[in-house]
Amino acid sequence: MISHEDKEQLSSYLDNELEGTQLASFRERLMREPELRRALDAMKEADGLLRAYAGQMDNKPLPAEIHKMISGKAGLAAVKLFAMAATVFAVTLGFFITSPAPQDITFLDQLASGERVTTNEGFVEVLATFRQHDGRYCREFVTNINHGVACRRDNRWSLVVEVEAASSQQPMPDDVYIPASGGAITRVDQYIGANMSGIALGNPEEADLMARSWE
Amino acid sequence: MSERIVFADEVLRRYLLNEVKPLRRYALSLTGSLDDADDLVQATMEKVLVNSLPVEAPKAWLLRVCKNLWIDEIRKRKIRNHDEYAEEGEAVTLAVDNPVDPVEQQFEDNRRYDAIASALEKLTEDHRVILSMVVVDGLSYAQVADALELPVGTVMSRVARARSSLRKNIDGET
Repeated sequence: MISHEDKEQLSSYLDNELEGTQLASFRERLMREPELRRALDAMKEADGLLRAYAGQMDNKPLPAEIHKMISGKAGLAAVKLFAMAATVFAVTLGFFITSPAPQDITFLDQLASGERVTTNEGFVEVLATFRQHDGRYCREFVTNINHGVACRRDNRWSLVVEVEAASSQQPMPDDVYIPASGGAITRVDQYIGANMSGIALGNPEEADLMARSWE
Repeated sequence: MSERIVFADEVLRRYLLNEVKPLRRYALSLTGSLDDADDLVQATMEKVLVNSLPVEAPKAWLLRVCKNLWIDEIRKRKIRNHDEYAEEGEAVTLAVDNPVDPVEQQFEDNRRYDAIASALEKLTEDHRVILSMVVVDGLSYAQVADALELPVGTVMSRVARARSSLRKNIDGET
């Protein structure tokens, strides 16, 4: 008779959740105890059946409506309506909805890293320029409302990650995700750390790219 | 200062295109119906495209949105089914599609799919959700703990119980 504790260990073993001495000693038990091995095989078989069952979806074509919705090419009327409603809701409450972001980031075309420009709305500043692993040029920037990274795509700047501050005094909708840890700089830095190729470009290289319209 | 760090639209769409395949499998294991699964995936995408996903742990959050939408749907159906039962005097259970595959050699698979669908349907919702996350979608216990807001120890115990129940149900079906 397999105890519940053993079932937990078997299950954890199957899911690669055992480590170190725990894993080693359980492997030894598996070699010694045929009943434990049979229970493991039964679990594996059930897992396999479940995966095969769920895998049926792979043989069913993805409905065009879902593909269009995700790719954003068509059929987004409902989503746009939701987005508009959400935006109105956000503005009413006085906090930010992050995406889609209508922010004008054309200042990235000509502003050198380290330069800050004050506008009627606040300020914009470019912090760094770098090249991604995929070859695209990207710029990290900060404004009075957000901190983010935008990259060149189809001859324009496209926002790839941003952090927007929201007042903690305002109520938040139930389904808004607020990470328990991690600050703005850390998140943006994580993106840069994962995607930047080499080191940040210097101002002469930036000037050269600006002269070539970032091509 | 509260912050919400989410994917920008372009990154989100690319992420969802990569995740739609595993999400559909997950949805099937939750719903037990091919058509319900795609309806659920569509509803999930609609919600996620409006609210985006956090840069941190997007997968766990995506599955959580999907799971919550399905639980809402079950509640609605239970209410509807209760009304129908009261009117028509017949029990209505959650529909389980018979996988339609015209190829003869798939007959045995289809029989097994029916058995696993019935076995899944007999699981509690908690067990079905957690097995789908771990076995179908391959999430670690830490990721599941994050998605379901449970201690990792509880996840481990629940996964083991769910597996045990699934095995019993399968044996009862075959």
